[in-house]
Amino acid sequence: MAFPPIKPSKNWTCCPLKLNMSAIIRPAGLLKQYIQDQTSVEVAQGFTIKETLNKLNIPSELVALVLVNGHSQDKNYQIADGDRIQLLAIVGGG
Amino acid sequence: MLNGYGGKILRVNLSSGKVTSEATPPEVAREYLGGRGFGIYFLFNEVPAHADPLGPENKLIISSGPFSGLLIPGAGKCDFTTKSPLTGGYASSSLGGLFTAEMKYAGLDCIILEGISPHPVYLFIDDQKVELRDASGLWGKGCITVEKELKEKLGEEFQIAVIGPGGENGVSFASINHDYGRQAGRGGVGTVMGVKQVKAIAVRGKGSIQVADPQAYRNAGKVLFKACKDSEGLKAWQTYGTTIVVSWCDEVGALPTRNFSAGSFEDGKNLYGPVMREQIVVTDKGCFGCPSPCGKYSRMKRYNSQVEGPEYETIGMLGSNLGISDIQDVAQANLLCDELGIDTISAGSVIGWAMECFEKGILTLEDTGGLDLHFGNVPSAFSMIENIAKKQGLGALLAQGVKKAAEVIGKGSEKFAIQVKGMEQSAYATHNATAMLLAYMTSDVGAHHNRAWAITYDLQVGRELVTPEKVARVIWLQHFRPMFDVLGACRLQWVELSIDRDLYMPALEAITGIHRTWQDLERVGERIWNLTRLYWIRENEGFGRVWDMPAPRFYDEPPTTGTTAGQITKLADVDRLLDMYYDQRGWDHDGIPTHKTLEKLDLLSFKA
Repeated sequence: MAFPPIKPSKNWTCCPLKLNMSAIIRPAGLLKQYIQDQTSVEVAQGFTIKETLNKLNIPSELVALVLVNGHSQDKNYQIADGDRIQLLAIVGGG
Repeated sequence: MLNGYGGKILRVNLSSGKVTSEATPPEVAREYLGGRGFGIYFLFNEVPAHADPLGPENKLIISSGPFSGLLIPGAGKCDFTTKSPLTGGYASSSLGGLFTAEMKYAGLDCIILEGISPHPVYLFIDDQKVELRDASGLWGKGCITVEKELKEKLGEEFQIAVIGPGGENGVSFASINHDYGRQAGRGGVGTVMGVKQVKAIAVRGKGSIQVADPQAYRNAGKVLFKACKDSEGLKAWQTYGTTIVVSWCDEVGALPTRNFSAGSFEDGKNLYGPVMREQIVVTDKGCFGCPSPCGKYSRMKRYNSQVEGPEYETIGMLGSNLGISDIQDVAQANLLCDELGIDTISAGSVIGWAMECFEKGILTLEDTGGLDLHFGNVPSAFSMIENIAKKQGLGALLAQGVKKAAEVIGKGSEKFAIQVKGMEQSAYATHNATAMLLAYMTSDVGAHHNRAWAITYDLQVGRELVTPEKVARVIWLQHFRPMFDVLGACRLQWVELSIDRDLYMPALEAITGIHRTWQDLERVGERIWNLTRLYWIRENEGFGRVWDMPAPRFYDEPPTTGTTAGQITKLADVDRLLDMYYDQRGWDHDGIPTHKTLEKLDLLSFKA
């Protein structure tokens, strides 16, 4: 199965695929640069966080914390319809 | 009167019992600002060369900064500076909580403990009233116990810094504890307080701090707090604190596992931040002026106990590094260290080293006093923590730190003593993360992470790369990050909430009345960095390149498991890192600042 295209949510207009593009990812801090400094992108359900990060070209190893609807999940979590996903990097340690 | 400062340096001569104070020198405030800057200035100038760290000539310098006690995010930081009994070099350890705010309200920029008291005392500071009081009834008791006792006796408003049996007994990595769970943990600052026979310092201030422009100060402070409040990372940071890092370190191979033999732990999942939050955390706890409380109060049902923590470093060093995979066990080990007054990082390192010695047959049951020191043995780890603090049996050897312990035991154990300059490495495995490795090699207190935390940068640009840009990044971090320890504020708001560092400059100007830029401050940072280097050189004959070498494990023994299995930094690359680092710093091949560099930094008057 081909991975659906991903575009910044602001520019999203393609209706036929809209049914698949049902979750929002918000990378924080240094991770934003990988989505051209957009606040968020809309992504497809049914794929794992890790697969989605690969598709977005966000290096998975830079993502320290994944919060899905406010709850921590690992990168094998499968994205569901309507999920709000926050990604955090750690830039400075303790 | 210096705007933004308490205005006084308090000197307590413990040998004579005489207490004096002097005005904070304006030129020192201008050139060194405060905190860690004051610390090295007074240490270098006042403690004679080659002083015995445990003798009366050594001093313990507690210094606040111009932000301390003011309404700036996280402005509850002060620095403890001394000649380290652990390393024989420069020690500075930062303390959060509420202590420094009270210092400033009592008009104190520094408290300098000199000499040695003939009997146990505690220093009582109630604004302008300063007394040395008998502490014989407190001697031998744990940190948390004594803090509670003193608070009940003196009142909640007093802030207490206290040592435990570890400091009393001369454990080389004894900590100073405060607010029931905050520590100045590293380098043996608690050891020096202990040898001076000072059980505790209790301080309450009743004054206020004069600032240059109150309205601009309020405005700049509000902007900073608003930036923190609006940060996307605030909720997660507050929920998990530093434990956010555990799962990530495990994933990228940076989680110290079984004495740093690997960077990923097969049972690491049980120690992750969300697991800890769900299983043991009761509530959050912040320091003075903190908009993002990262401290966690935890309750360990199995032990019917509670602790502030554990933080990431403690989870790494007393958890995975010892092969321990239950968060309640780690939290209980944390509590033991806190009450006994020993650094959790160094304790985790020396015990991890002893466990590896035991598994390799270098130490036997006879050596351990019958303790089975296999990795993962929780009761043995608890017993060893107590033995270290009380300097009993093998604990007496481990209490000297891992470098000295390995020198005594020998048999190849030096190769897996994970330290630089005698300080045990904190909780980032650096088999394949060259910038972070260099940060540990060159940190000015020994292998501690807080000066330059570069591991994300390693992952961004290529972890195995050895480039001038990586080296430059480490140097920049070494100048910039410790400026928070100079100013007296927590760096975590900048670091983890990603607030713009330029927002701090209007606040500094409004407080002190002096316009400064980060470029200025980084120059101050560079001067301080070179001065700490000169201190190491002055105190240690033959100091040079070899002192900057990492533990051989990071260039000689690739992990066999986990994310970094088979990965290692080559020894030739370690050398290249140092060559580039010295070159960029203006130091010679042996890591000694050149005449030209000292001239450029106006440090020629400091003789190494």
